[in-house]
Amino acid sequence: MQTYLKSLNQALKDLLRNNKDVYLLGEDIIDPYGGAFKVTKGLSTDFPNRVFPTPISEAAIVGIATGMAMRGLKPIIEIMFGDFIMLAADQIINHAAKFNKMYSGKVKVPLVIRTPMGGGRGYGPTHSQSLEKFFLGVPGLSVVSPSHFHNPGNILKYAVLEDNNPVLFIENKRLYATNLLVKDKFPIKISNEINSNSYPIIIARNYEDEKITPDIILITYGGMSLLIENIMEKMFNEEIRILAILPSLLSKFPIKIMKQIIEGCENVLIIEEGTEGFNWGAEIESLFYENFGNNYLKIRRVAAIATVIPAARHLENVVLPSVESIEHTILEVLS
Amino acid sequence: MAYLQRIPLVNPNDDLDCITEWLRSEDEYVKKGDTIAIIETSKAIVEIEAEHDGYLILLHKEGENVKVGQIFAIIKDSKEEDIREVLNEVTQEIKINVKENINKKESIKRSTKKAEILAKRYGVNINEIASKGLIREKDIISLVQKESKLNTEDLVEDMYPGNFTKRILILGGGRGATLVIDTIFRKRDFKIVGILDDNPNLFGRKIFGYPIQGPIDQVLEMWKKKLFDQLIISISSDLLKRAQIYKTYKKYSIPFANVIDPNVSIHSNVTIGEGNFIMSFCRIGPCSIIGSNNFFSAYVNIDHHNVVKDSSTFGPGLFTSSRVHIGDCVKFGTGVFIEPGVRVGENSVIASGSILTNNIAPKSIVKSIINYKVRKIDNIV
Repeated sequence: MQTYLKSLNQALKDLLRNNKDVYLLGEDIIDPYGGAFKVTKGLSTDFPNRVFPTPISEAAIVGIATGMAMRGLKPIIEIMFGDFIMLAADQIINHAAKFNKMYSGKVKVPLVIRTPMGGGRGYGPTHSQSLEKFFLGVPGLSVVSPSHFHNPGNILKYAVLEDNNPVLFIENKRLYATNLLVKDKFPIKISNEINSNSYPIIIARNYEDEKITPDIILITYGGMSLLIENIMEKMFNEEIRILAILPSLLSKFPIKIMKQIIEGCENVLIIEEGTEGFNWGAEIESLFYENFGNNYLKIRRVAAIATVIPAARHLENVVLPSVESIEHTILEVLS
Repeated sequence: MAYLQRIPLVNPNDDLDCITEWLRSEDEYVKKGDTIAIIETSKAIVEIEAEHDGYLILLHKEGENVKVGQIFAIIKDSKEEDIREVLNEVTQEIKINVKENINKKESIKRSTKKAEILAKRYGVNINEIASKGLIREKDIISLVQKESKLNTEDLVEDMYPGNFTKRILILGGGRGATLVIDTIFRKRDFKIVGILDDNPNLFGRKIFGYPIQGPIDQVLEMWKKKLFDQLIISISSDLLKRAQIYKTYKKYSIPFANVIDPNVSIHSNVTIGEGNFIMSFCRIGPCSIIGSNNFFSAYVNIDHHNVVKDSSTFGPGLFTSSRVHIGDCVKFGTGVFIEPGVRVGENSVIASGSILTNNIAPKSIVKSIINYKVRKIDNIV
């Protein structure tokens, strides 16, 4: 069993070992501290000339790395908390993401920005957010967020080596200590992995027979996979058949291939940890309605309540999507 | 008086703390400030003090993990005090706690959520199902299938549960049947037994999941076997056939049903026979008399003091005014208007868009004249 954290750490190690162009930059990422969440632990010891600590300036980190990427290197940078990504938004949106198109494809920016997002740990309003929705819809920027149903290490390698766009690589804090669910774990079965060589979409179900139409389809990404796993187990006992779709790439959704996956099922629930309204789920929902809309299609969304995330754990649990709130919505949709 | 002791929040990163040791035993008298237990968080071992004087009741065993903020002990004033009420007050919490900690015993649970949802959908009272184990999806489905099976004669008595619905047999399997079934779905006071049609090409085909089972002459046999309670004719195009079927089975006193959409408005002192099918948004005005075996499409307005005899069909959007009299077997098209006091003779056909201002003799065919030129306008400057 491998944890999400270990998978990422190992992938970074492999990347540094096998590719001389890979550099790591970030605040406090060198040993003995090894980064706030220990993703880079041990790397500065093994590769002292290619793992660098930086001053506390997110804009500078992204700016430097953008320059490195344009000149042929493959920098991977760490923003200590996802909440701080806003300080680098200008560098990402107005610079890194634009250069390829601005210089008619002559310039490539293979930059990967890793950052942890998400709450559930009592870190309060400024260290718990899921801000990825502000970076969705930026042309030229890939936004990636693997769940623990994915192999995050492999996805990181693909982002670094194969994706020529700047990549915002979001890691959910709650997942770091979680064991990866790469194989079937009763009652959950992995039905399919679409795009398995790039940014995979995992299709998982909690019932035996693949041919049976599910009662409800859940679409989600990143750290919400933890709740989904729990719900799929619970609902297995309630005989409610769930098909879960977990994309790892958020900035594009291959709606056309969803037709055969959702075949026959009219109940869809989209779950995300970011705040409700004008979010990823809204885009997915409209894609579904535009492509397969009929009178029976019933789509609901669950997201964080539109307020700040409280530090008190019991209040935080109310604000963020929880197993209870998702379960409640599922039963409401089916009844 | 009973006091509740909760697990304190020691480390904001922890959800669960472990009760490593009870320092006092059940029913022992403790004083406020006495250390009663030791709990372990992910970072430290903490002593917990009693918050009140009294007798101690332990809700957890040593080594159990308890949620932060959850009640883990109760302190009561006297040994004999009945704390059941207090326990009830915090049932929800205690229940969750008990559920999670005592190996998830779910003895109270009678059915799965899916079974509950299906029971609600099919109108099955889940509490009336006698079952030793957990009621599952397949139990409900087999029950529903059993109820809708046709040839099981011994089911007859079981077909009359508390919520009495009549079993209806539909004659005619064309588009009219679709409309009849749709209306039945909207009201749900009938249980559809099946559909009969004389066209052998239709046998085995399904309308809304109900199969067309065979020719219409099976009715008598099925009636003898008591497989249905009432008949309805869905045929609207062939009026003679409609009338003939009705007359045939009336000879045997087989009852016909009135299938009336829930939003039809029927006013005071209206008399309605049987075997009528009335679709949405129709209105039957006060003091009108409707015979039997008529087919009313949507938005038909039969105004006050009208008389409609038997076996007629009305296209959508037909409006009569007051005191209109319609004989047997009249076929109306769409959008017909009838002036007050007009009598329409039997066996007539009135084409769409006609406006009837005078009496129509029996066996007439009436066609509206469209683009009729009244006169030429001269002298336009």
